[in-house]
Amino acid sequence: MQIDTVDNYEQLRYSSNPVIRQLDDNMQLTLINLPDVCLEAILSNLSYDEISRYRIVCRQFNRICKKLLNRGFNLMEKYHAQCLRAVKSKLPRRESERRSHPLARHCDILTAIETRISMLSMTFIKYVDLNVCCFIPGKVIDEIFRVLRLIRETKTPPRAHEILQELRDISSMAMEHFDEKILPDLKHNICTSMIGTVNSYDIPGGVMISPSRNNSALPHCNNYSSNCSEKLNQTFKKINDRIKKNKIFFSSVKNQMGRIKLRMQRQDHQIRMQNLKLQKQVKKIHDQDMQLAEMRKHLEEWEQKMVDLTTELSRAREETQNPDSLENRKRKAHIDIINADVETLQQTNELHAKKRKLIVERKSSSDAQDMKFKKFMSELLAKSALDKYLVGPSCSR
Amino acid sequence: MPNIKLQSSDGEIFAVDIEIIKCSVTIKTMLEDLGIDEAEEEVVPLPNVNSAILNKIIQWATYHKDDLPPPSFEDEAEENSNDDISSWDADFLKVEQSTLFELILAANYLNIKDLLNITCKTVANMIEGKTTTELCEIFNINRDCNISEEEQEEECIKKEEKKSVKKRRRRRTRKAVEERDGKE
Repeated sequence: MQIDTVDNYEQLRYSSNPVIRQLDDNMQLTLINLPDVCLEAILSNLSYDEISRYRIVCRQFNRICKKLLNRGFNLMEKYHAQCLRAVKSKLPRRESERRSHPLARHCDILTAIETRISMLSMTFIKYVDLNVCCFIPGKVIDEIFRVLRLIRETKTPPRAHEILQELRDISSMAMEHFDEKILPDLKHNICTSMIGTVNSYDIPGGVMISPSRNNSALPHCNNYSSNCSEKLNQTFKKINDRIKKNKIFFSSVKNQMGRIKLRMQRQDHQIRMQNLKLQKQVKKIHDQDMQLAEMRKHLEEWEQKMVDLTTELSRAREETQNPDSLENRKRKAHIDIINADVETLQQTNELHAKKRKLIVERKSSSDAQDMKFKKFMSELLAKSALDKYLVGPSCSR
Repeated sequence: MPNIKLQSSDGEIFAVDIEIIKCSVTIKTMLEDLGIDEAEEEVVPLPNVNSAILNKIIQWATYHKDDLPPPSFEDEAEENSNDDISSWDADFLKVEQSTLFELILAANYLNIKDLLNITCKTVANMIEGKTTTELCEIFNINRDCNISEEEQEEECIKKEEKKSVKKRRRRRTRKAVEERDGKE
């Protein structure tokens, strides 16, 4: 090849490709100047462990390795599903037969791996989908592939816990580490990356415009070498505008959400208060029920009394209708009373006599005056007693 | 066998047997779509490939013209565990880095799967087992401005993981030894 043609060919060769055109200065094609497709092809020959370790080399490597790791996880899931299907189709349907089948151990191992994979995907995939990280532990992918290939090739694999020990160790370590160390840092990134990655938000009140829709226009720009940068600038400007709009929209939605949350809290409070009130009312109603029952009891008692009284009244009324008996009874009562009076009179007389005797016995003096007073007193007493006897019956009568 | 004329980016024209160059899927589909006219003397321009690289590709294709078509794999997962590079290919690819990369570019452009495979594998072998600093030296990667804190942290994580793996293993072996001792 002639030397003078080299320049021409370089110009021709790179003129159509703006990415490589940058190379014109040093004329040397290096690894990181290769397009992503080629780098992917190169790196995909490495183990996933190495891929995960080479993420640190540079941004381009990081980008491609992330992609490869995510793809590796998906491939691994697919490969596992395929293996499991293949084994399950060969296994007999009956459970008892299945246990003694030569493929039983295969099935055990595969189901154990399945749980591992689902745990891993629970830990990582949410954040992978949000585009805040990739499936970080490449070694786990390697290990799962190793086990899957092993059990696909051998007819008598070792026991499940032997073959899966390493996998269990490294996967649980990776998950623990992710939860403890990486996740706290990721959390504050999530909000910002959401705006950049999600295509459209289905939110009532409008659909957000996404910048990624415009990305398809970018590669075309490369073909027009003259106005390429201008167009790129325009698209960038558009994208920026849209990002701004989206941000504003996002913040407004956030505000709305905050307001709704507040309202919900208030309503919650109200509901709680209402419940409290309701309980009080229930209690009150119960009390009132009790009181009502008591009143009813009382009322029944009163009614009973009333009935008794009315019966007595009616009996009494019956008795009043034949008055003879009543008169007789009245007379009888009168006689009784008179008899009692007579008796009491006799008793008082006796009492007076006793008194007199007592006084006479006490004052037994020989004085003439005294004798005179004694005589006067006895006369007076006898007179009064006689008076009483004569007047008493006539008064009572 | 009918020939086809390929023009490299620097204007050099190569006359190649159609059967040989059919390993390139790009040219194969182009011929299938447009139809082969033997009488026609039309030149196919390849603006992305220079003459040195095109020469090498033709050399490779001529050597591999009798190869069996690669067995199609059922799934991509097993594709990685492909066979090794043959000694002729290894000799063929003992070239400068930049030439190797240009071969990759050309193989990608012309869609020659086997060539792309072996070239990529060669580069991968160069990468394999190296530390990141070694990698940067070998491939002249400017690293200082590219590392973010996050990535550094991730490397730390990997190291920690390894350490804890070792720790666990040690613990486990100790346990096993203790158990054995207890039995004895």
